Amino acid sequence: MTRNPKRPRLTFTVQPETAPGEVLEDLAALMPSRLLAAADRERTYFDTFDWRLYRGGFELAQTRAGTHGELRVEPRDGGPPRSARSRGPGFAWDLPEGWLRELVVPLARMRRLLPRLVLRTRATTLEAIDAEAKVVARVVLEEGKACLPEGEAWPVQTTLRVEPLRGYEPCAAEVARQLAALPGVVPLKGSTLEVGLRAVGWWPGDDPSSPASDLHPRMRADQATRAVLRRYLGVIEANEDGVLRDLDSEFLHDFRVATRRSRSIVGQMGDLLDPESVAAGADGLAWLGSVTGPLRDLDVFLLRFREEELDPALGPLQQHLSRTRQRERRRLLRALRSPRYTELKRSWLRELDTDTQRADPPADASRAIRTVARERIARRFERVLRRGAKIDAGTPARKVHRLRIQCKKLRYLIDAFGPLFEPEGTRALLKRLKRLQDTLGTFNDYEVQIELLEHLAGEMKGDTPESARALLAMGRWQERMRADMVVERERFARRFARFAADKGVDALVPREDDVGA
Amino acid sequence: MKVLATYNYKGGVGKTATCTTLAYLAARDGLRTLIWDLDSQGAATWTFRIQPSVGGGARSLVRGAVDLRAAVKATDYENLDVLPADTFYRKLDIALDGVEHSEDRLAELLVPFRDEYDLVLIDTAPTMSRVAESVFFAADALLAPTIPTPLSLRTLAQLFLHLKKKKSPARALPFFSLVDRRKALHRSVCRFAEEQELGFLQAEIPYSSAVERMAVRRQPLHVFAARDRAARAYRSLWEEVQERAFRAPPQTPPTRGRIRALMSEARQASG
Repeated sequence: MTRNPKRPRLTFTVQPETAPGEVLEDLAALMPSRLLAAADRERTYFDTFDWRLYRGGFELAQTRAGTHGELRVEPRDGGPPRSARSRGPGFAWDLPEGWLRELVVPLARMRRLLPRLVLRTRATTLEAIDAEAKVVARVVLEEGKACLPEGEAWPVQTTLRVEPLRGYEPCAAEVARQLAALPGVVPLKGSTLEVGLRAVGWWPGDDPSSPASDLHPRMRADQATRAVLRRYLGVIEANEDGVLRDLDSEFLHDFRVATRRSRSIVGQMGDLLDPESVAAGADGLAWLGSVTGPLRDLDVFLLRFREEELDPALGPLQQHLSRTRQRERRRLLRALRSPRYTELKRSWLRELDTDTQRADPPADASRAIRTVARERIARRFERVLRRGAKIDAGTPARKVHRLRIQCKKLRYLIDAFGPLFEPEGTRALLKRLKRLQDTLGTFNDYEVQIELLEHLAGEMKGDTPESARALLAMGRWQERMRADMVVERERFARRFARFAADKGVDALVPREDDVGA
Repeated sequence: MKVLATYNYKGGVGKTATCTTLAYLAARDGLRTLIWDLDSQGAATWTFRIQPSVGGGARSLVRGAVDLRAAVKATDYENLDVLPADTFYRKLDIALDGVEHSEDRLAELLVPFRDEYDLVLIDTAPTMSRVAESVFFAADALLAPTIPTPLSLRTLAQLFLHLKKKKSPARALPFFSLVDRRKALHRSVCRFAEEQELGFLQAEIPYSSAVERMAVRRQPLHVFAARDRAARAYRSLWEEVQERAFRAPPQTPPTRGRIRALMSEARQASG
């Protein structure tokens, strides 16, 4: 998201030798205006852990206004900001009804809005006025400090922002033109949030759960595999705090995805590493997968209550799921606070950081990663095609499940090593694969949820009219999901045909900039 | 988007003061608010120091040929915009004459604002005209400031009858304004309205010179006299309006019998 080029540039800063206050005074001398008394401002910027609002084109700041909190949304394309009275945000769906909730819910969805930056500034406002003393534009000078929540404060770049008013846009453009012409005033790139984060050495927009690739095509395959696994361990650690504090369901989801990716890469590339360490790591990762699974299954279920319009008679089921979730959460916390988990991370990191080669390295270990990865992706791709071709309307669910696992393995290989190839080809291959996986994933979710409903029905007592109604509604729900599974099978046939007819691994061509590698 | 209109056939009862004050309070609460100053005198537009100009003409407006969104001006206050008055509004009535389903025209003109604003407040001229009828169909609720005098009650009774006759969907929300509790007549009229359950809002706006000063300061009341008793009363009124206009189920409007009692009381008191 960049500034709308049709809008004039309205944000400036001053060069170090220029006094910002004098700039405002110089500007005031050029037009009818009034200078307001300087005021302290404190803004806390909120966004999800993976910057969903920012990436969606908005910045959300909380300010204090009298006894009330105020949330201010600033569009990143330079559009006019809007404010609404509200207490500090938690989940988007807890915001008061109105335009703000309608804007934020589709972006943040199930992710909690967390404080990302605190900005404390001294703001001086110059109001440009017309002959009726009506404000036609504002220029706000801000100087101050920024800090990450609970972090050290750093001075931010002085900003001069021209704020346009609807119906008076030409006036704002004229004010900006005059401001830009003043000595010592230079255009400033970035929004208030970006300027603040720049001051503390951060940049918004990065998804901590999708780490950037730092692989080189000529890297030894064993070193590259270690590098990939190190990154996944980083993702696990980045999400750990959110899991422990139960900030939102996606921390656990991303934690689990990184664990699964690690397991998958260990399974498919682990022969290049030290067998003893790999075996220990694989055991530990399998354990981590099993201790996080039950809570994630419950989260998926509970999210359906949030995001779908389910039968209101299922209320008692929702309560039962919430109670069960508490129990599972305690179990997970015990696991994540156990010496076994600490030791797993420590020893796994030690193995991944060690650059020693195994005593009897297989030939692939010293070959270039791009060659090895391409061969292994091709092998997995063939396996998916073979298994997929055997699936028809009568194939048992467990065989569909096995194909789903094969697709996942292929997906994780491409996710890890796809950046070594031309992005266009990788994207095309991933797109078809994702569509196939969506169908298989939905099919599997229904199967898991039908089974879980069966189990929960056994736990719930039908001794009150409400719970009896809930049990009946659960039965109806199971029936609906069975019918949806049939639809997903039909969808699978279509999507698989498209997937099989595609270019396949031929889509993976070396990047042009390192063909000789 | 909710639409409120301030309306009373009588002039000088506090329509514009109510419109500008409630709009300011709504905007301060975070509602994206638009005032449509439909009174060609343009008092609300004047209060916010905005030029009274929409452009086009009455017939173009009625035909939908005027880009009303382009005419909107921001006030000095966040979340609060004004669709200004224009002198051609005087001719709106004639322009609406002969137009099929003219009562729906204003509601149709507001459609482009549906996603932009949470609340539109229409300040209506004190006339019983086609424009007023169109407002009755565009608004979710009509706020009717009423001075506690027999003649004002009589005017209110006429409004009730008119709404009934036209089958307007708008809720009528009368409330007393310019109340001077030192006057026995004001006290007795307020008591009468309560006894007859005429659906008056609880909040009543006392007479206050601060309200008159709005036209001198050209600012909303709460900007310069937030602690004035009229300002406090308007705050209560705003709370109550939100409840009665948007949240509570619609109340049964006064029956014809009650309206007749209202007319007769007004006749006796004035006779």
